[in-house]
Amino acid sequence: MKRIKNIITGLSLVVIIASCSKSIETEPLERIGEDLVFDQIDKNADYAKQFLNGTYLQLPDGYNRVLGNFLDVGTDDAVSSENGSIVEGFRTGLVSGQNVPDNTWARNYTGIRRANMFLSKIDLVPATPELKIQWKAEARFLRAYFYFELVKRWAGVPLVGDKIFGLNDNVNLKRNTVDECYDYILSEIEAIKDLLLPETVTDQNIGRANKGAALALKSRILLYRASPLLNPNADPQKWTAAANAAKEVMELGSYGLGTDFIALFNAVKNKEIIFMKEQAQNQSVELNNGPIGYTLGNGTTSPTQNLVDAFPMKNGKMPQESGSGYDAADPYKNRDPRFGATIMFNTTQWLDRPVETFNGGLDRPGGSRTQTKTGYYLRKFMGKFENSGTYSNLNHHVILFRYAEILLNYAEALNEVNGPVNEVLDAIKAIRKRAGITAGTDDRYGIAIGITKDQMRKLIINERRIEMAFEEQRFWDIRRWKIAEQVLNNPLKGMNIVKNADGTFSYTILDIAPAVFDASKNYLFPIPYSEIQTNPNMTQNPGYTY
Amino acid sequence: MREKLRYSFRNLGLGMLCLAAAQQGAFAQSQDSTFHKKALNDSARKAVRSSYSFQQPASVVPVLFGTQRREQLLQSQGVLSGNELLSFPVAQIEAALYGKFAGLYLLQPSAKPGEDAASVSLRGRNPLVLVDGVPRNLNSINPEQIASVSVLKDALATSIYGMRGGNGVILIETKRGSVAPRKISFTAQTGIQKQLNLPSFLNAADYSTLFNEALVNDGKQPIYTPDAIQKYRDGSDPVLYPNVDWYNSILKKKATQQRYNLNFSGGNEKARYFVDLDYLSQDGFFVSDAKRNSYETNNSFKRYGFRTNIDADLTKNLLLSLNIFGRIRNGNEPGAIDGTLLGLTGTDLIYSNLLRTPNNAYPMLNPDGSFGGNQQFTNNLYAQVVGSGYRPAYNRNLGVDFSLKQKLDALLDGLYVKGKGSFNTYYSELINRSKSFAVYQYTPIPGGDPDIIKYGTDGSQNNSSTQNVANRQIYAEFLAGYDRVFGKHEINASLNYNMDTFVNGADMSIDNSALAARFQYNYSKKYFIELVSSYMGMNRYQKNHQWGFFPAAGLGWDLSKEDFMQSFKNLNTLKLRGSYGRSADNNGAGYFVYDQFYNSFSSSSSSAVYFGSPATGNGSIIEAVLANPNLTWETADKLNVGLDIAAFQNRLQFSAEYYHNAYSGLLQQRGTNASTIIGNERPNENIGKRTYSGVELTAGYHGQTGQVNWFVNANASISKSKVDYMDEVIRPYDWMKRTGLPVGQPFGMVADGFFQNQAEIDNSAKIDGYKAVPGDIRYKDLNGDGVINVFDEQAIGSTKPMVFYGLTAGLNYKGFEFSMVWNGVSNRNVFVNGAGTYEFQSLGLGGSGQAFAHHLDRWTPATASTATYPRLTVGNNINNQRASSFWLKNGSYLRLKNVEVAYSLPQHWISFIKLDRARIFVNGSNLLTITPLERVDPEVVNWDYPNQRVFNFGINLQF
Repeated sequence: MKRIKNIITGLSLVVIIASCSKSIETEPLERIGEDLVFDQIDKNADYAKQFLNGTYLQLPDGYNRVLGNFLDVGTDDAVSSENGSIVEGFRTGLVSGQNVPDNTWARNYTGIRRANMFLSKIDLVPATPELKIQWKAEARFLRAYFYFELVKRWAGVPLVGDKIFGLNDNVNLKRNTVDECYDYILSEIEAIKDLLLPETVTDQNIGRANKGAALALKSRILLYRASPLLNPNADPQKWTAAANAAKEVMELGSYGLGTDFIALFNAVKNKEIIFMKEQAQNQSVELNNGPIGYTLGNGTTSPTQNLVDAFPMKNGKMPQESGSGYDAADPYKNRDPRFGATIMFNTTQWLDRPVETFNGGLDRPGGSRTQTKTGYYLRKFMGKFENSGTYSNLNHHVILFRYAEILLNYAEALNEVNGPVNEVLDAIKAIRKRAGITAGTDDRYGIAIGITKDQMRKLIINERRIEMAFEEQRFWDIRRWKIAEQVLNNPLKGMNIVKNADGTFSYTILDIAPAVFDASKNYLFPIPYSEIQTNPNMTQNPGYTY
Repeated sequence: MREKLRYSFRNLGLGMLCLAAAQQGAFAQSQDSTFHKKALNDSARKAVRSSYSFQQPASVVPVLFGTQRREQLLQSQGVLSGNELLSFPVAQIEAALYGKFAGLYLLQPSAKPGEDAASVSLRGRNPLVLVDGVPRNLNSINPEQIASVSVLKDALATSIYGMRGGNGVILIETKRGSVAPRKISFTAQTGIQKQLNLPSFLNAADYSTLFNEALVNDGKQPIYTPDAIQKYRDGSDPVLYPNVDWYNSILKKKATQQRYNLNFSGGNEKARYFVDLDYLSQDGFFVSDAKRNSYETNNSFKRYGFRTNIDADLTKNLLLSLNIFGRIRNGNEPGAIDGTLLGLTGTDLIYSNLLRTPNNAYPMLNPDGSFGGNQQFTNNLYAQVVGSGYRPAYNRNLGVDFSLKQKLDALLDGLYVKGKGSFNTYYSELINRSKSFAVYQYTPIPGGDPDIIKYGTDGSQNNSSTQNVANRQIYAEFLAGYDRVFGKHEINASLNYNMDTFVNGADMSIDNSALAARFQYNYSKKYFIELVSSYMGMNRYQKNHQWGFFPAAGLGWDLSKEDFMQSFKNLNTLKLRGSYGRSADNNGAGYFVYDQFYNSFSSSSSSAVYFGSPATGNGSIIEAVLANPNLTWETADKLNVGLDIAAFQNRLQFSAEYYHNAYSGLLQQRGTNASTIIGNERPNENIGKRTYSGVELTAGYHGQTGQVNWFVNANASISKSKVDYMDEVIRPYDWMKRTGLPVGQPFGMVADGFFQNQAEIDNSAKIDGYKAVPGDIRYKDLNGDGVINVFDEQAIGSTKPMVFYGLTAGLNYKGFEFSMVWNGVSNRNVFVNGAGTYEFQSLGLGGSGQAFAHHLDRWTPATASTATYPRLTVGNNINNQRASSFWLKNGSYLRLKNVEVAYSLPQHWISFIKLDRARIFVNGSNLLTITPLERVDPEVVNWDYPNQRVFNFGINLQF
């Protein structure tokens, strides 16, 4: 009997020892919880700051951000070198609720949630009141910006206010109207513009949202609201408001045009940059879009002949204008310097050799490999690698607002109000001067004397196209101007270049890609079908079946 | 003490019956634990299989936490002796289970050595695997070690495993020694593997012709001149106009595999042992180049395994069992890297590239011996095989099971206690010794030096190691049991506490623990009742929501024991049985997902945020996926009714079962009120409801005709599933709804031939987002709105319950043996699409990949009436390649899975060299397949790593 007891004891011990291996943590402590993020005793607010950073993350990434392509391949400025890129659906009419190529719906609502969470929690953290005021204003700016990204795509979207939804909260929200959305964004900007950092910031605060950014956003929104898409009755007051908003930025006095158009896009500190999303130094623009004949370079973006034709000559005159000096046999000579800064063409010097986009050239070898479809590659945003052996890492910050846009906003709006008055001319001249266009004996940088309001409008539209090319402006401009149905209903053009036996080139312009734009629906994006499917209160934009 | 225990039993509610019977002291049959043991121990000896002469089925079968006599069984289960697995020349044990069990469905999606395990589905769900009573995986247990494989299917069988038994259980028992003289068994076998269903790649001339045609179809200029195509065809210029048969250039027609197994068993009254040593080597098909490399680049898999199972009777009543086992598995494959592609490397990358490299891409080797290539193809396939270094993989596991069983008959007759502990570790690392290589575009210049352009670099070899898995497991169990017979009453009861702690990497452990009980009673072996339950908890759920109670009950009636049935002399069993109960599955618990947490990214990560001049990285924190505070297990309520018949001295066995398993609280994403306006990802929630139901039949007969012993075992399963609830998104038309249809029902467009001409396109419904051309697939406009879009998708393929079946039959005549295994399935849907089916598919940019013989039957205006494939296109085609009935095929098949022919040398030939037995055998797998599918294997549809046929021969010596 005693022996049995001993055995039982022994057996029990085996089991007890085994079952005592229980770990001491009952919940994982390696993870960050809310109490740590918004730490009530951390005066430095280290984690709270990082949470605000996480909100900044939702700003757009720029460049080849849409499925490896520039958004601009959905316009008449470029085509994708890849076959069947769905971004081109914007240009070929192949956009539906199930196929929304630039679907940033969730990305922006995620940003809005993060901003709201920050706003609701930051007061728990014992940082200085000044910092908290500044941070809250930044969060509200970002939230306003995210709404702008939504509204420019889909028009009215549901406004959630300061609400942070729980798992089981009702999110079957109705859409607000465009006006409600823009009024909300503008009221937010008014409320925070003076709480943000001032437009002149210390080096370490470059890249944070500041007053300049808020006013620049306001300027763009008011310009969009004054434009034909949202101002069908051409209410001149809206144009006045837009002009005043641009003027407000100009009157800050802190911004100006940079001197070097190419260097601007690789800068981090430049008086022209109003707001940007900074990135680590990289060479992804070069790798994605560089000509394919070099060791590296995928040549994804093919700028069109349509865009090439939009660049004036160095004297400011359009190629087809009399006295422009354009030579169809040597079409790239003496063009606006922005042309060479934006587009890589046959014979451009690049990485120690001329680019060869003639048929059979190194950068257009034929065959089934992805290569330029137009005879052109993208040059803009790249470093000055004309005479380097290889690419190297550079600043490629995503510039969301820069001063040239403000001048263009101002010129466009004021021209609508007052016609081509001197202030309009001055704004355009400033841009052309910086671009390197010669002033001419009349000091008009190629702008005709006696230009009419309509002609000036055309000129500004064109100037905006070439100045802001590939900066995701034209995609929205052709919509707000309601000209997409004209510019996107003709085939896009490219250049066919043949190298002659004597080393000269022959140039022939060809249609290279179809363009179709349905004015009855394509001015707005379709609401993603996944939203329609899950939310019975969601209504689709006109013209889209689902 | 004795009195006390008795009272506690009464208090436990086992009833007066127990006490009264005990006082009578009457018991008909001792339930000695060695009785159970002996039955199992026999399995090692039965490895000596001399013939198919009939043996009575094992009277004791394994169940969870113990064994039961076959006559007591009320649960739904199937059991198979490990010896039946020996005829399969396979590396992974799952593949030997094809066709063996009703309710068990297997699918092997790849035959890559080391990664060729079949996926296992038991009554529609992926079961838990226990080896010797401890949750483990099936990884590389070799068949010689296996005493038995059981599948446990209903609630009565698995509720005792609580929230881990909800998907059924596969229970493997390993062999143990028995009281017998020492026996040594040695098996050597070697096999030849051959790949099945090779794609028919197009030659360069046909390829370039079709590629031109596709370009023209897409409105583009053709790129191959007639002159070039002629040169591809006549092979007159293999440098500039290559036509490389890649398949035969980089792959061998055959690969070998070998296995050696040595095991010893035996023992006496005091101690018994079973020791097994096993070595397996399986080669891949890649060619090697010993001139280039001092190392092997071909993919391969080698496994070294050992197991020692020891039982020792420390005293008359105390049994110690100790199992020590381990495996080392070493793999190898070519280095093959391609930075631009989707993370594929090594073998996978090469097989993937094989489908994507046309014959005319580049010469394999240039005239100067360098690797061919060009700007577009910088990854020479041959170089990837022999010139890209290699990647060894090492993993090992080691386990120890220790148990003590004490009989306490001194306290109370039939009482025993048992303690068990198990420790397992697993470690896996991958070593990267790959290297990059340069390729050269070689252009001969008549009368001059060739023009050579180099792409890429000959890099130095990587040398890095990644530990990809490291885990350990501690399992402990304490069990008290009581087995008694009192006259016509028999009681078996047990109560156990078990806990399982599993630590994976740096994560906190997964702790499962349970208090589980089983109670069985029968009267006169006619009327049976069994109750099981588990009170189980898991630490991954929120406090106060960690524990659940999972009971099940079963009833049975063996009519054959009734007096009125005694006239049926040949009837051994006629048992009706039924069970109902609840179990659950906690696999989806995740990592403490009930708690809202935040993800932090460092200032150097890709989610860093940059500010300042110069741009400086800052860390960021974001809210992780939304927490689900209501998370719980997925519940399964299972009904099972069955009929078992045994007759003619048990030579005939028949069993029929019906089951109805209702799962609820299945974890899935919600479909309504699910807008992304919420601003974060949603967690999975306990939403879904599904029913799996079906009928399973098994039958077997052992016969003897003259000197021929023969047997046939067959089974068939009708496996039905239904989505009862899934919080489905808003679907405007009924035909779009998934609810009510089988689980995993394919959906897509209904293909309606090809557009024959422009007029037909103009008169048909417009395709949303696409401009059709003649030769494109036409779809039915289900809602008649004149537009082909998402509203025209419906359930396609078979919606009937899947039926699968298996047949094992064998015979022997004197020393000759023959056996075969067939398995089959019908009402199975399978999409045949992807890179092995579409034309010109390539990873990354552009569409310039390979094409296949079936593309010759594409639509062209000339072949419009006979075409079986849409018009060709370069790149992706959103119309033709979308999910539709065109690509969905009937995946039914019937396969001769395994055949073995063996001859055992007559005893008098071998006894003089002290051999007990010498058996020579030849066997094979995947020998014959009958299927309506064209081109593809019914299992390895996508040809990621092709399925194979194995011919294997070997010898088994015993002495």
